[in-house]
Amino acid sequence: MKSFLIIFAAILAGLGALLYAPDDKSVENFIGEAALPAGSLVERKSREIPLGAREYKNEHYGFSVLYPDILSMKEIDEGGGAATIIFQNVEKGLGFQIFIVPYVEKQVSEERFLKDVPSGVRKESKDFQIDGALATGFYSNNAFLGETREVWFIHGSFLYEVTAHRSMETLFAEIIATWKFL
Amino acid sequence: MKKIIFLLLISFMGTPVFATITVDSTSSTGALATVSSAEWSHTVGNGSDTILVVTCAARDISTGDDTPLTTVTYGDVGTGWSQAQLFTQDISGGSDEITAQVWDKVAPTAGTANILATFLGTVFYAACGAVSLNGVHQTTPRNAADTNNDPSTGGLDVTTTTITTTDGTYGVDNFYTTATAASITVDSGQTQIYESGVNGGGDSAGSSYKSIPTAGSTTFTWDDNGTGGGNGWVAVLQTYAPSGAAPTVTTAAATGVGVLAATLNGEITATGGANATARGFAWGTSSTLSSGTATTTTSGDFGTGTFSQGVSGLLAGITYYFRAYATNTGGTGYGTILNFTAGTDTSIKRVMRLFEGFTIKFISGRIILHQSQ
Repeated sequence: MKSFLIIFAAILAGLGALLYAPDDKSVENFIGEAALPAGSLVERKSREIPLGAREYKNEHYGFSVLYPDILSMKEIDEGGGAATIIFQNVEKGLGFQIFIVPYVEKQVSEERFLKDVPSGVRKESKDFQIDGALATGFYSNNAFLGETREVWFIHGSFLYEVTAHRSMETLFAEIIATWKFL
Repeated sequence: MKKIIFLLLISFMGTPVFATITVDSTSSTGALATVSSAEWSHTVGNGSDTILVVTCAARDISTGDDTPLTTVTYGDVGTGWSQAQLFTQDISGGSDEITAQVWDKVAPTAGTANILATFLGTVFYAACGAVSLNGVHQTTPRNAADTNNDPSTGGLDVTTTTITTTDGTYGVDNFYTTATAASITVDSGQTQIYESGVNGGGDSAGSSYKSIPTAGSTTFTWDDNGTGGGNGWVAVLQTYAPSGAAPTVTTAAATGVGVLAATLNGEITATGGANATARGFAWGTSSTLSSGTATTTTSGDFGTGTFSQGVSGLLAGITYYFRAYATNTGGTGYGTILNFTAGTDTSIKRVMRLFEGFTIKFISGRIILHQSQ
């Protein structure tokens, strides 16, 4: 696990730093499709799979992401075109989930937010880009999981909600930084 | 895989097997001067699904404007004749009139008889001709048509262009030009029925036919070979559908439109003479269905009637375009392109699946999981 973290973090540290660097926007834009200033863009890199990582690729939802190979992956069809993909290691208490739902709006409505986050907690929201898509990262609270780190973004006709426990925030950021749309 | 099927289908559609129209016989009068009618002999063979097409181009150098035909008979039979196309144009400041026109009659009696075409009055110059075609649709023989003219400069190439909607049509044109007539020649691909140097060779009247194997834009041209001059020209074009025409198809609105799936609907409203052997839908996100298009195809023996096909794998909120089609031995008929927008299911909400089935404890900032009882 330690070796994975070292290699993974070394490759992605720059991206992770950019991901969570404060921006100079005075008004936060909660998951819109407007472009950020060019200077905040994360540069594209050719896909390399570091030692200790695996690639998850989903042609239907059009993305791939790297994750630590100590996590097991499971896809769950939620019906209506929605799906949840979980990556977890129950022995080590590590994991995150991706919830994807068809979505036609250009911004996440408050109704949609409260439907998926009944607690309504959204703290320290910050916009950044994921492979060209505008994303919002924030802290929230889930009745089961407790404090969570959330990254939400809209791409194509889907809303992506990526969630992890706040305790694995650093690794989560590194994983998010490997996200690529196909 | 869908793309491969589509390409195969397109390949198939590109070489339709259609009922072929064939030329039975042609006839013409030669140049006429100062006449109120034209009469000439024509032979109709024993072929099936025949139509007799008569063309008369004329010029009237008077204020009478007598160039349109009023009646046509064949073997003294005047019933069944009707005017398909007529275009008249005043020239020389209105003192002259030139006209091109097409008349036709389905199912003429086989044999040899005189055609008598009667003008509205006396015309100064004219030429007429006829062509009988076999294999023409007997109920709705006429397909696309066009008229064209050049009222001012004259002397330019004579052209008519139309868009046929059925594979295997046949076109017949007719023109009158005041261009220097001696050099007027029919375009390659057309077969001349007649070209007469009327008005002592100062004008030209002519007619031709051409096979149009594939539905789409077609042009008939007579080349003036740069001779120029004259006071203008008029031309008409009428195309005829084969007896085994492609089915007539309409597209109906999609039903059951959901997030992932919808039902496409269409109808064969007329078989065109032969039942369809395949029917289906082309659909995709291109508004013209020109790219990225998938097809559904059902093979069988299909007469008139509605048909439907479910499609799936849609993306929420995306607009899809589709049209129905059906294919028989006469070709492929298409309905108009309609569209629908895939819906969204707002009832779906996120469930925390992470560590589902476990209870969570937090010890020193770490997650400790225990299997739920």
